[in-house]
Amino acid sequence: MSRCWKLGDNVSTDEILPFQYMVLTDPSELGRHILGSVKPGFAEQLTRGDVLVAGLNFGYGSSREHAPLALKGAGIGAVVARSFARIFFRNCINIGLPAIVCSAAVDGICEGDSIGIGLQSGVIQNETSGARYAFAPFPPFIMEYVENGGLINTLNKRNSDPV
Amino acid sequence: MCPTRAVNILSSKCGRKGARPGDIVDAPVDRAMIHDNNAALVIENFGRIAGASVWSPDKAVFFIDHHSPSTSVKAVKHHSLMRRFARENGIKSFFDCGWGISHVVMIEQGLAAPGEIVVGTDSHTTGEGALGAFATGIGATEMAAVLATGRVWLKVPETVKILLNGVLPPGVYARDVMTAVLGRLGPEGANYRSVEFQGSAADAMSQDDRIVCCVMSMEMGAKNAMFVSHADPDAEYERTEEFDASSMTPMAALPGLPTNVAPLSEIEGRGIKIDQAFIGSCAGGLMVDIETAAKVLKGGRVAEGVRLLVIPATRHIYEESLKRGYMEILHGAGAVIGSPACGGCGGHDAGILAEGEVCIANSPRNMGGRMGAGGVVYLANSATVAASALSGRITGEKGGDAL
Repeated sequence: MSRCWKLGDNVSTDEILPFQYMVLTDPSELGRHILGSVKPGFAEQLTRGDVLVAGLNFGYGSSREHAPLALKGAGIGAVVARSFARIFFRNCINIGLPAIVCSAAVDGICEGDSIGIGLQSGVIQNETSGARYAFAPFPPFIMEYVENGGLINTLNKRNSDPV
Repeated sequence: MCPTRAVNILSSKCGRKGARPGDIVDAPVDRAMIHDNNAALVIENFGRIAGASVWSPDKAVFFIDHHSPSTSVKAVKHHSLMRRFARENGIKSFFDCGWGISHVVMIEQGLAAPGEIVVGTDSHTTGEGALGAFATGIGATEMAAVLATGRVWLKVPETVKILLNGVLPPGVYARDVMTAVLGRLGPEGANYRSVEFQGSAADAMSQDDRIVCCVMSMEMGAKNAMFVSHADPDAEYERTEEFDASSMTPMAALPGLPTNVAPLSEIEGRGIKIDQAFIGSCAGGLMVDIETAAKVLKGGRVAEGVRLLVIPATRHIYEESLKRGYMEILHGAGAVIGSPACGGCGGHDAGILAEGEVCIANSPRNMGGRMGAGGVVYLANSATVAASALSGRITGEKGGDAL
């Protein structure tokens, strides 16, 4: 089960990971600096597998992959939002971080709720309230990226698997 | 109904006749741009791809424009890594420190031709659409895969037509048009969508103006943006947003979001004091911006306590500004001139704000912390930024008279 943290609309990549950390590449080092201006001290409060639950257009702004990489490095296991900025969404999938569009979950989940996410079934189960929220599962080629832990692993797997 | 320009480019390049919005295509890349903010992650991920070699070294373009000239020990290590990678992989298009901002240099150098598919590790890659390329931003891992395979999957986008009717009044710039567009469409008004600019005011726009519009389209989430002068009126648009350019006035964006807009006339009255004025970036360091700033600043002097930072977007613009005497005017007015790079826009090098400071800028973004934690950024056209530098408060051109 995963504990949820809530965020508002249009949280930008500048806010997820400010420019001064863009010279870092190590995910866990990046992870120490996430969302500092939005939720001070956030990185220290996280437990591995926690889920961010955000509003509209999460990851608005720059193409910096450091932003989702930092979330992953900080232990975030998935992001649920009403919608995602286009490049941020692709970046999440490409590094194997599930980015799930589900407005019902955003409406229903309160900060601190415990949830389980069924990527294949397309169901989020709220263990705290008992509610269930349906979402459209990823198409197969995106599911392949997520299950393999990202694009690079998928490429390597495809190239090594005999066809 | 026939397809829009973006759909046409994707379907013909991918050999998918009849491709429709929503289809996934495997697109061949004509140009892949990688800059120093993301290159280390690109190179690291490329190294993880078993047996990878660069698919076509002549189609990869490297830029050092974000931390330029090198701004820290870590940044210069990434630069060294880029130079070595380019050397070892036969990548000749290497635009090192001082060449300027990728998007604008790519257009100057003919590296984003009409109909080409361009990907870059920068969201403002949409700017390369100014001349009619399908240009879009991607992340570092995806770019590593592009370098190895030369291909990228894309969902064929719906298209939003921005129809700009009428004629822009004097004192109103392409930047004001985009501020008005962003104000109406909002931060995800074009998310996942292709944006096409059309109409008499669009047709009248210079190349610089077109770059501004295509760069700023990213701020409403656009996948790509382009000017289409001979569009088919029956093309299949998701929707058309119509604007009357003739009635437009100077605009500004309040701190927080570039889409948080208001007419400048409403903001001027508030007497907002500024600490910094910034003219630069892929949307604000163009020839037209330097020229406009020089006109406003000629014979004047930057207000006491205000830093005016001017960074031409490219070496070519710098050189041309020197020849035309603009640099002398700007220098004489007290401006600090930076070498061509992204500069203060992303807070990567020159022009970082202190907590509580106020900046007015003509760059694309003003999200929280964009130029430094606790600093706030107003966005406006170049004339307003220059006039504000003179008065020390947010002011329009000609000392408060908006026109």
